[in-house]
Amino acid sequence: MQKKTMGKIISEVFDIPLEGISNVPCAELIGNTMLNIDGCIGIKKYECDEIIIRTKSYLLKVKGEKLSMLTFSQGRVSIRGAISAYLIEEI
Amino acid sequence: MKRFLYSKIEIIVSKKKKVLALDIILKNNLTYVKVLEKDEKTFILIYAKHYNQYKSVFEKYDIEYTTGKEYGLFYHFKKNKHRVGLFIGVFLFVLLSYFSSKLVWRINISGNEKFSDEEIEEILYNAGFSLGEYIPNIDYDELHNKVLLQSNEISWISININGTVANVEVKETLKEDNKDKSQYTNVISKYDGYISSVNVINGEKVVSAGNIVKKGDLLISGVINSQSEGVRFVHAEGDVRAYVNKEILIEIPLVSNEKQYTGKVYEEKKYKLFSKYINFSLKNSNYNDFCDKIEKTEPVSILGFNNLPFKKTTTKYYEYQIKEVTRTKEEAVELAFVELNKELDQALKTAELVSKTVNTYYKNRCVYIECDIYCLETISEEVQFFVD
Repeated sequence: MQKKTMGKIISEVFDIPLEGISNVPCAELIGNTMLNIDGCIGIKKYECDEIIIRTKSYLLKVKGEKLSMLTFSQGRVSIRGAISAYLIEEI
Repeated sequence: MKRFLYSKIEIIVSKKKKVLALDIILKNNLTYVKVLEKDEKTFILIYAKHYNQYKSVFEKYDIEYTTGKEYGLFYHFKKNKHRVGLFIGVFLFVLLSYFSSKLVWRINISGNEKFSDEEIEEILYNAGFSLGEYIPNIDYDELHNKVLLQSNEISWISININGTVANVEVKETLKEDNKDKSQYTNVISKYDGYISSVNVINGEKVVSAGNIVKKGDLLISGVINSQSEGVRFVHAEGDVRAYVNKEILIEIPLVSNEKQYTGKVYEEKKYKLFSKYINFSLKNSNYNDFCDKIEKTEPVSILGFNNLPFKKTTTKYYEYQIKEVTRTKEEAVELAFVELNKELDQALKTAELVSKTVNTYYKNRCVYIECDIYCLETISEEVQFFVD
């Protein structure tokens, strides 16, 4: 069973969005061609078929074809290409 | 367009350092446009304004990099900076494009009947408005007032600018009847004559058909004396026709000084752009002495465009000499009759010819024609008088 953090408990009790009070990454997938991720602190791998993004508590693996990444400010990135899979691994 | 305007530069890192470079970029909140991989190298395209930031970050983390191609308008300027003519040309183009849309290129005039378009343009020019006028500086109220004050013949004017065309609408003053009916007048005779008919519109008739009158005699009086109303003054009006004698004398000398053209023609050309003249004549002599001048202005058509504010004025000077001419008697008589006919046309403009006698004679090396004409003409003329 997953361990509940304080942020998760507060979010559930007071019905507050978790991303507002906790350092969890927030991902927005648009179709299968664009994935916007907030909360990135680094890049572990960058290939045209796989990109691994590092956040505070997770590793996000994005798999697909012809992947490219654009950076914005404050840890926000946008991955574009033909996305086939999106995995989350807890660090 | 945006891509063209903003300058961009490529930063090239090796493929091995790619992930490290991107990681550092992300951690330092740097942005880039695109990442490409080619020939074991990674090309990161960034905005040129961020280059210094990238440089300091890469140097800090000891990442080897090189710069590649440059893109954008500033790059093109840098590449062609030695081509001064190009920059001057671009600058002139921008300047001309901006200012040409702020100038009056054409003037359309409507509503004029008595005056020609050129005369209206002349009036506008005197009031400070012409082709090439800077549109934002035009004070329409002041211009309208100036035109109306300068010309009594125009009673209303409106100038509207549509793009670079000035549409000028005018209303000309209607010709007023010079007769002011409130004035007191008498009708008097213009010539000596034998009255044929008297038609009185207003006033008291003084003469009748059959009377002989002299020049200045009263024909219709503006003073009416009635038993019921006493003396009253009116604006006398009427039409009085009379038989009148007129004399015409023509004199043609056998020897005279006349103008004869030498055959030499001098030409001057000048061009008018908006309201400015550009003189293209090499010689600037004054041809006005002993030369007749004929000036012709026509629009210049460029590539089929006829409505440009560009005109050519060609002035031709025909040289002449004053020479003594000797005529024979027959030639002098012929010329005298030509002059007589001209005088008769003038004299009989408003008269009916009843009879004429012509006497031709020669005296003191001159041919004379005396012509007496007897005609029926309107001799009435209104003259104002004042009452204390």
